Amino acid sequence: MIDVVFLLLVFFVCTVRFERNEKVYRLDLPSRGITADPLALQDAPLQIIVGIRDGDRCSIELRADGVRRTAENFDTLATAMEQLRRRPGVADGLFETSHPILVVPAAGSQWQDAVDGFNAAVRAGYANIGFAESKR
Amino acid sequence: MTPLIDLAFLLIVFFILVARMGGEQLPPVSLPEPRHAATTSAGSRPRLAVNVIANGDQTILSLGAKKFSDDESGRRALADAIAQRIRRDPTLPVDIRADRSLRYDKVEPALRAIAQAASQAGGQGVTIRVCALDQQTAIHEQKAKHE
Amino acid sequence: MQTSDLRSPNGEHSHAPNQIAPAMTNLRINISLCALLISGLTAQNALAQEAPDPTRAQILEEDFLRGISDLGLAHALEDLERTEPSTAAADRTTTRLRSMALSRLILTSPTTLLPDRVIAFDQLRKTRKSLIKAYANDPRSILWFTDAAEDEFVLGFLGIDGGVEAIAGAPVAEILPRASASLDRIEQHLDSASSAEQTITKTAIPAGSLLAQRLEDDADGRRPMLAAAVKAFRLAIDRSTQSAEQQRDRQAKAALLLKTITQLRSQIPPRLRPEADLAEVAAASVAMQSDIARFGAARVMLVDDPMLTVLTKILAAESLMNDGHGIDALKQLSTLLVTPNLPTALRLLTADALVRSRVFAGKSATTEQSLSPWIMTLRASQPLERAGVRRAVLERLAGVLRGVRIDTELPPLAMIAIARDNLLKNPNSPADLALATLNSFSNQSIDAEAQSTALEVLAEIHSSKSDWPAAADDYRRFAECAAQEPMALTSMQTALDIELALDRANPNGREENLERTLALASTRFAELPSRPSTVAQWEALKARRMIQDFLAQSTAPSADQVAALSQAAARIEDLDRAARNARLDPGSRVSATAYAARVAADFLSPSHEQAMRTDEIPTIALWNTWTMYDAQRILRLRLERAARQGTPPRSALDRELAGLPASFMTEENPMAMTCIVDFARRQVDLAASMSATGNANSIIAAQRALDALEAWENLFPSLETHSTSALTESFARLAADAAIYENSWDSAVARSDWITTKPWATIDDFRRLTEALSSAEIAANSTKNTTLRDALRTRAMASARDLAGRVVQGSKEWWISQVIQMRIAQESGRGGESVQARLARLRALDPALGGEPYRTALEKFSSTASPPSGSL
Repeated sequence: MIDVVFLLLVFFVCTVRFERNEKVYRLDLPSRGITADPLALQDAPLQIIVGIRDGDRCSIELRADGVRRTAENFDTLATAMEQLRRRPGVADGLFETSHPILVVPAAGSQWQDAVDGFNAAVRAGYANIGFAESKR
Repeated sequence: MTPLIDLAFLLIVFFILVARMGGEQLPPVSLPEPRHAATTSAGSRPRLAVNVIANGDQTILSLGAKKFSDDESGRRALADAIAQRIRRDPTLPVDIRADRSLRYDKVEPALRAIAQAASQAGGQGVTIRVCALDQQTAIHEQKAKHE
Repeated sequence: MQTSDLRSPNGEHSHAPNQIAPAMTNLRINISLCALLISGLTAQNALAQEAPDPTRAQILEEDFLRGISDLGLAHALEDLERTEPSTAAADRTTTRLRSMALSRLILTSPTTLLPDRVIAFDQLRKTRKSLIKAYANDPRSILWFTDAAEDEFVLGFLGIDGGVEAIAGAPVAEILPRASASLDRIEQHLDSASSAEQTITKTAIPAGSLLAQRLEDDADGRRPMLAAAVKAFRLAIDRSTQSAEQQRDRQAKAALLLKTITQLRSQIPPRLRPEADLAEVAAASVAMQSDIARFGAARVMLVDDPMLTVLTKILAAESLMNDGHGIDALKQLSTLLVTPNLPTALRLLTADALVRSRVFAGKSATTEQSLSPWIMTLRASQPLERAGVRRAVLERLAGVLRGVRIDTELPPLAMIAIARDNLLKNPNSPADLALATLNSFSNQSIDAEAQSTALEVLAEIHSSKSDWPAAADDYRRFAECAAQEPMALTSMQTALDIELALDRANPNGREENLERTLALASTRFAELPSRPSTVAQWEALKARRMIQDFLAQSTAPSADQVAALSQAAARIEDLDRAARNARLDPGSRVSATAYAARVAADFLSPSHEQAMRTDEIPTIALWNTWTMYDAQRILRLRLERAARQGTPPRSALDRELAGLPASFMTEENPMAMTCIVDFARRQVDLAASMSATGNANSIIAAQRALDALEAWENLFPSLETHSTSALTESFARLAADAAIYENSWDSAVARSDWITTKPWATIDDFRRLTEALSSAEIAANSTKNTTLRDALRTRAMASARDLAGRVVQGSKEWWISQVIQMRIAQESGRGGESVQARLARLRALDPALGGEPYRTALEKFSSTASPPSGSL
């Protein structure tokens, strides 16, 4: 009987899935040419421009019509973006939750930084974030 | 009791073959790990994982056991493979697992090709996800908006 | 007739020789038909005997084309091109040969006018030159050189360059150099042919082939014949005084030439026989100059050809004169002159000879008697050719009277001729006397002929100086006083075209003249081609006057007056519809004025608010689209009047008008928005394209365009859209007219001014709008208003976005665009958060929100915003 038990134990051990703490961001890539609602205001996206990493840091810039700010790191970026967001009860935000955000990493920047930028936008509460096309 | 041990070995062999060895799909990729990650759980559904791995100078795209090179033809082949899988099961989410140290301009074309293939094959219902590590337990639900 | 066809009423620039060429053509047609048939027959025979001849096909092809052009068979050429396109032909000469055939068709057609003839001849020369150049080593080029010489001879010397006139004694000095130059060119071609003959290797040509035969004929017949003819003509043209010995020498040469020509007659292609005849006459006239009897005998063989007969008689008379029988000569010529049924061209030649003979006989050239042959010719000419003859006679009179001062002793036509000559050809001579003469003749009515001639000349002169207002007056008066002449109709049309163009360019400038012209055209010229639209224009003018009177008077117009205006508007609309159905010149359509009249009538009536709620849509809709210019003027006048009088607005509409420009931004009017955005975009385009040229005028024009934008903004009223079907119909109509309307401005007079002052969107924009509206969904949808409104809003939104993208951020146009985008979003229910967010961003960009009036308009969004409803 104990042999069978050991067998089953071996079996379950073998089939355990070794997953680490892998999580996801849901991403909808912007498709070109889709007709949005023609009568709605079409806003130019708020761009998060991520630069090439220099040692430990990379340059982060936030750009939109009339708004241009640099951030030291992604935390401050997230804070700044959240402050710019229109929230219930606070009427002076510049961007709605559904305002399109575009993460624009430089061609030589790292994927880590690009995802960091994406993450900052998600943290700040925006819902419509995309990656920009890389220009070679 | 020798006849019983034969049966036991048979069962072991049978169960080993049937059991899914989870490690196969997850080659070692050091995913990006943002601080204060605002990610969502991957869920336990089966998923289609596309890996973008750095291999020295080159980048390799892999889908399950198949490997593709990181150029036009490779991406196209990858896209075809994805499209095939999606057509079979349109509810399959497509995950992109890219190494954190890869250059953006190596990852983005693959991302784009995958997304195009997936949406062409499956239409609006296909989910595409970017994978990252989350060491923290705090999560808030994020729903991306379909365009 | 477009204003661009502005020519003097002398549309037929025909001199006598141009009538000779067709006569010769007729002669040649019969001969060449035979030639064609004969060559066809011989070709058949040759075919049976010969070894294969590659060049035969090419030569026969050329013969065929020549036959087509000689016979005037344009449709045959078209058929040929259609069935065997020249682009697909194996022989690459085909394209050029066919082009030359086409040019010759034009040249040999009797209805071609002189300017077109010159152009066609140039084209022919050019094409042939390129053909020869491309095939410089081809033996056929020898033939082509000779062809060039022949064409230069027949079409040039005898056709355009006045060769016959030169032979018969050039009446106007300018003819001689032209004729000589033409003869030089013929000789050049003949020389080129000879040198080509020597340089091109003949070994390539198969012996006995058609090509060889032709080359032989060429060398033996055509070329020597042409060379001899050239020499004969040179002798005939040269009338310089010479010593007796020189004269004898000349006569001897001419006698030799005569013999040569007679010998060669049998060796030239039949089509050249008439030219050979002419050469013989010319040579004979010189050779037998002092032996009139022999010359008379030589006439016998030429009795068939009237032209040659007359020419011979003229030359004979000249011989008589040289011989001392001046009186006989004059008698002969005078008899000839009064021959009934003499073609005018020949009569003109005879008159030339007569005048010359009188001069030769020692009589003064400037007496009435001397000049009377020409005047008589003019009077005897047919009405249809009178214009051309008049021009020819005036030229001749001026030629003979060059240097003579204008003198009341001279016949009126002579004085007019001198005046014309001075004004056209001597810009340095004082113009006052000449103009005074012309004016005095044009202002008197005793001598009708002088009056009409003077008016015609004045019109020509003013046209040449681009003094269009004066030219228009002249044309009109000519039409009035020479109403029985066919040319009067053309003149009337020309006057009308000019006046209309001037009116469009400067609507307040010449109303009285326009009115007079229109009145004359509508009442006395029933056969005018543009009669329906003319009458419509006239009615429109009267209506316009009515409107202006109303606006100028200090009291409100009475109900009767308004009713009269409404009736006028209805009349104009009917006329315009008729004109449109008849597809007349759209540039003269009166739709704009018709609808402006209608609109004005509506607005001036006390119950206009009611009127606006009816289905009188074409008015209001078209106001927004096509009539903005007139409507704008009307409104501006109204506003000015109200401001001047300090009167309070009489009605809700007046209040709105007085409250502009902010008001236009708060009313729901998608069409207004469409129009204003389109208009703004158009102005930006215009300003940009004009500034790009950089010169001072264009920048000023660009400024004016932008000023017009501003002014227009201020006057745009708010309106509502009602019934869709009428609107759709109007737009469909506009779409049909769009292309035509845009292309109707040909007059250099009006165009540049017009473009720089045109304040509204182009018809093209509205054509696109029509396309947007024409979907079946909209037409069939029962909730018409909604769908239409959405369509218009979509359009306006797209235009606004486009505009924002094209101008500098922060400019006036950019702010307009922002306001409009936000309004559309809000009004169609897509507002709320997004509008607020945009407003906040605009404020961050510029705390003053662009200044007035944008700030007020934008602030309204924030006060009417609904509280944020939370994120999605």
